[in-house]
Amino acid sequence: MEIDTHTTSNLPLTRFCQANRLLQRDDGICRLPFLIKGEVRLPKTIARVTIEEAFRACDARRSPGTTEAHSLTIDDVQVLREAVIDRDTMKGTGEWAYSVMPAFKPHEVVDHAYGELVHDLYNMPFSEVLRFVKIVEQTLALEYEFIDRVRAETLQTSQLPDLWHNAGFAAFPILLNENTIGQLVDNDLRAYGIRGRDLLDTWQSVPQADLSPAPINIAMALIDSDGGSAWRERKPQLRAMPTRQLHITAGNSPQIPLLSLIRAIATKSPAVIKLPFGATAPGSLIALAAAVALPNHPLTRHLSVVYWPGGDRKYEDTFFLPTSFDRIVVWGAPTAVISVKERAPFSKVLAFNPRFGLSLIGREAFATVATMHEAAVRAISDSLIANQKACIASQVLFVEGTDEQIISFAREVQSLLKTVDAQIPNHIEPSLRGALRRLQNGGLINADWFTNDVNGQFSSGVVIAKNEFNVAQHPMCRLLVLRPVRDLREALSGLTHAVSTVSVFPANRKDILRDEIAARGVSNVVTLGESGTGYAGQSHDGMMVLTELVDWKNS
Amino acid sequence: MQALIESPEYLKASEELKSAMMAWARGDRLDWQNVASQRRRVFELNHRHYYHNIPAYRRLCERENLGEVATFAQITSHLMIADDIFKSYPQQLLDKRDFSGMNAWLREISTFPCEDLGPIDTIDEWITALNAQGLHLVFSSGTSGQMSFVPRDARTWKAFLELPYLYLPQLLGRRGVISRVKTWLVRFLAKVMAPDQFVALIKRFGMRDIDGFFMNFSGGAQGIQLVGQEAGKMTRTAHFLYQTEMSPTAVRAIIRGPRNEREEMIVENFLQATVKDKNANYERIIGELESSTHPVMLFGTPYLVKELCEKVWLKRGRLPLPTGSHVIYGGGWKSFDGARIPESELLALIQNTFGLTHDHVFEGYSMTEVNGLMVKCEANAYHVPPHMEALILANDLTISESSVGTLALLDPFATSYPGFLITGDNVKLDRGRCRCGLEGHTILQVERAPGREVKGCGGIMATINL
Repeated sequence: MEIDTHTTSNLPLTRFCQANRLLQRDDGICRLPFLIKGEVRLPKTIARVTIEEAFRACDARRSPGTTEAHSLTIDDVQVLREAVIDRDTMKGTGEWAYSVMPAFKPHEVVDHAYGELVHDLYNMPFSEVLRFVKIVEQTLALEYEFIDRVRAETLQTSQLPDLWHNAGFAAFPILLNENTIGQLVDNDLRAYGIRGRDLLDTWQSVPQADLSPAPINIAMALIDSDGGSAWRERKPQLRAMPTRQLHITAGNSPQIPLLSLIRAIATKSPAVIKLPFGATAPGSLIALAAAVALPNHPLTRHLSVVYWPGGDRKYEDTFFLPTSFDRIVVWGAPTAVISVKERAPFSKVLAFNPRFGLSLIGREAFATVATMHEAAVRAISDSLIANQKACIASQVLFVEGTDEQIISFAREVQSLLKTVDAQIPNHIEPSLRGALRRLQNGGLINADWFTNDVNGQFSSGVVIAKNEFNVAQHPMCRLLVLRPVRDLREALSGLTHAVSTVSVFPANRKDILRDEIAARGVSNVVTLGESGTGYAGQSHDGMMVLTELVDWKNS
Repeated sequence: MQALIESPEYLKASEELKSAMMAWARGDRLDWQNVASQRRRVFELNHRHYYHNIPAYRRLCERENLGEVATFAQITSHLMIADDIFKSYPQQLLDKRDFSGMNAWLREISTFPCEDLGPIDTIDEWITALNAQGLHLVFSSGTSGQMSFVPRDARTWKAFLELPYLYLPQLLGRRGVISRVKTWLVRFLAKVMAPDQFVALIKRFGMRDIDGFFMNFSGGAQGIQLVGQEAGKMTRTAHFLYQTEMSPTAVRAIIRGPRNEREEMIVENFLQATVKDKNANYERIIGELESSTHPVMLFGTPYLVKELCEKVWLKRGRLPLPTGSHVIYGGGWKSFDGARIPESELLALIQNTFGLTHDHVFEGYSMTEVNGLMVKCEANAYHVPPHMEALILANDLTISESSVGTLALLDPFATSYPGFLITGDNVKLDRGRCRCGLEGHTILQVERAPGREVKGCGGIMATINL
């Protein structure tokens, strides 16, 4: 690691980044370091003109059915390009911002040194996890000004409106909370009344276990009736063993890489975190904080935070070998999830599949003007989670009411969305505008549209789709699709495991429908307006995630 | 308002476009500015016609604050119609066999009145009953599982069937597929005859000495099947790989799973013809090819043409076809994408199998929703005939000056449905002169438009209707 000593700050992270010109934009280029098993790796310097020439050549070769390239490698430097968005108009400026990252070899991040892992990490007391988390959190808190500069620098390419981008950075101290992580581990990994941290640290006797011998044990005891050598009743022990984890994270929210990282750390597991396109900086920042504040900590030394282009077999052929990782966690886009499941058939894969949310609004919403307003506010709250990009965000709302009531509701939502647009300007990618146009001028040409425009362009809206709607065509860009129903139960037939969350209005209708909704594969059934609420350690996609991330061992 | 498309101005402009097609294919120098101006005038008149006769189109106009008069620029920026409109019906109507509901949907997206048809049980019966009323419903199975239905009245149906004959014979002549004498004759007739007369003559005599071999179903209103069936009516003999109808009920039941005993039986019959009897079908058609002494026209999708070649090799090695034979393929690989081979390999396989030169093997490009065919020339470019306006749309589906993007086609001869089409294909469009010498726009590459990139966990794994 070559470190420039020229610096102006006394704070270690800020000083390190300033000295090495990291996580700041120079001539539109942001240098991002990787963490390779605790070692910081810096990207080589590369001129903007070289990057632009390489992308120009790439664009010239592009075939009509492919999207514009957003990543390439030039002379051992991985380069990402992201469109710059004017935060006032929330439109693309036509300019590009580049992030440059170092190269790495897949075998550099895979851990096969089991003896070292057991000694360093698996048998490390859980209190060290909490100390690690506390110090990283304190480092980030102390270096608030620098973190805020990174937030501001990365804002210019964030496809999320400012509110969500900023909230992602603001969530760092909430997620990096030692008490919360302690409770999370204790509760998620609790078994036989034993605290999770105890099971994670060492072998624990299983109380009141009724041990059964195999038939052969009994047979051998009869054969060797005098010797008593056949078997002896043992005291069974259980352990939640850490695992070697690969986390392929999603970029729809800046905190997802951090969330994945915390799960790896909480289970004392050696981990490789793949930063997602669109949210590379936050993950890189946390890794750097660990490397600067706790360079020799076992969690740092067994942590790698890297990027490679998703699907690149140069990396993934090694990563997807059954011997490389004990767990592969994959978030996100359908292609990523399907590809990993197909190509890593012998690895245990935890897939946070692409899912979506729905809302069910009963006719009670139309009791008074106030209840309709309440339902509209709550419906928007559930739909605009991560600006409608989250897997729990409501995409379609089934509404029980007369035509007139549903039109009134659509108008109420439209009016509220107009205020949201004014307060939190929306950004809609061109391809999503295209998808929206296909709906307006094709699939839903006959539907009733209630749209808000900013500068003559769609900014948000509601559409009443009287007939069935293909969710795959949903542009997820502040468009609420209302499906009128005579009875909320009509919505049940469309529920499958693809639906993550259903929110219901009013609460007592939720209580009536909850079991039937959940039985159809839905993971979260909540009252309208509460889809985005949650607590540390709650189940995720039907799983207690830490329980899935550790290996349960018997002795 | 039907009278609008019978008006002298409309008819004159339409005739001029037809003449332009003939002249263009002959290689005459066209006044492209005039052609564009005629074309665009027809689009503006069509807009008025659609506005008054297609409720869904009118609703779109109202949303866009446009009335019965719209300029070409307004049409292209506000009123382009996504091809999804042809599958915008509720699936449950077909599930419940509610064909009155399907008729109501057709009335929304087309100019056709669709009267009550009485009791109907299957899609096949529905299509037949509409046909009897004068509406030709062309279906496309689609890869998403949702079938498209494109409604053509008699006028648009005639355009669908006949417009290609205004330019195909001359284009084939340019490639040397037909003899020099015939080529000269076709060029001469195209110069002196009115378009409709010319088409009538070509349909009557153009393929009378050719044996037609169609890797198709002998019946059924699916896009590419229809092309084969219609061509088969004009050839000396017509041989179909599948001597049965392509049943839309069977296609839908296969995609979505049969819902009742009757559908199970329809699927069973369909699979019998296409899968279980496949080898026997190929045996038969290869035998018929072997005994043909006349020039052969072999037509099909790339997958089936490839499979035929493989079967020929397995059975007997090469099968040189009589002089003057040619192979036309089109329609893409669709669900057989896994079997796709590079175009150069397919061409080599066809040429090698049937002893044909490169000039006698060519590809066509079109879609169920348009009335026209784009033929690939020797310079590997699909030629857009002059009656169609090809535009490139950017990712947000606004007009783009770029050469690469989503293809939009405006078709002046679509009068029973909106002909201002946003396709599902992304293309590379060349606006210059082609190396083959023919003028006009050409399409150099065709690929399916990329699915919109779904980032994060908010995507949807599969098509789910709610």
